[in-house]
Amino acid sequence: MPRTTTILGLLGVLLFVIGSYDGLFIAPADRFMGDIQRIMYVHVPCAWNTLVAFTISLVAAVGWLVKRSWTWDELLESAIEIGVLLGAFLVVQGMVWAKPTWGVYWTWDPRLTTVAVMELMFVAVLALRGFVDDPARRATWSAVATLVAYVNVPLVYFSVKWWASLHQVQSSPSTVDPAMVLPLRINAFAVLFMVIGLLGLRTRLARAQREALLADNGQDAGGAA
Amino acid sequence: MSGVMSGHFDTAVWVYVGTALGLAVYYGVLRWRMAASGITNDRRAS
Repeated sequence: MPRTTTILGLLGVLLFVIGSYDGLFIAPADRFMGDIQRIMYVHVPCAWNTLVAFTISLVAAVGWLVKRSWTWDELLESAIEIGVLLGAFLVVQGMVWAKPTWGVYWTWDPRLTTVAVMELMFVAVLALRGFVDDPARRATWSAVATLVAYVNVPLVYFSVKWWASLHQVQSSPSTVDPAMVLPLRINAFAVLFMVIGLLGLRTRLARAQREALLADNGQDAGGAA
Repeated sequence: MSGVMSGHFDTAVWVYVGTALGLAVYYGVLRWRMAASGITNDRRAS
């Protein structure tokens, strides 16, 4: 499994180089926004994969609550950390794009606000894990907190449809020039594969840390709580 | 074509560079944390 995730991670890096070159140098500049729109080819893939990472954490939370297997807790911790990282990239990229197009780095628009709340709530889940020493209790509390935090994910996705927003609604391939769809797709898979590669490493770290903690506590470090 | 923006190509490039650097730094910190936790061999640790 580590070998598979490593290969996927390296494939993601390669695709990211190709997709970014395409987005920066081959895809046409946007008719109205010009070259600043090229940020889309990294911003949107980060957005999609932030939501993917948080969805993985939701599955892991349910998995822990049902099965009580440490594997789910390790996946939950890893997916949230990587989702928060991508979410931070997403926010910064959006701010850089917003300044020349909207005139401000930040505004309390429904999409931006829901993303900020989502990001902060998942940061809070990680913080919660830091406050609880007992691994089983930590896993249960953070799984429940993840279920609560995940409510923000559909709110983020539908915010541009439900409320009047400066942020544009989701595009589809039928409304976008094919020359713009290609780098978007390449980078979407690039970031996804890099997320899988990082998850492979991060879950191993989570396992090692949990086993060390259980060993310190004189508890069995087996596969289930 | 009024309202067309120009002159932001460098900004777009820096966003890509910053994202790539951010991912690289996270990967490096992750590897450092793994080494600190005694994980050194990819295949054995599986």
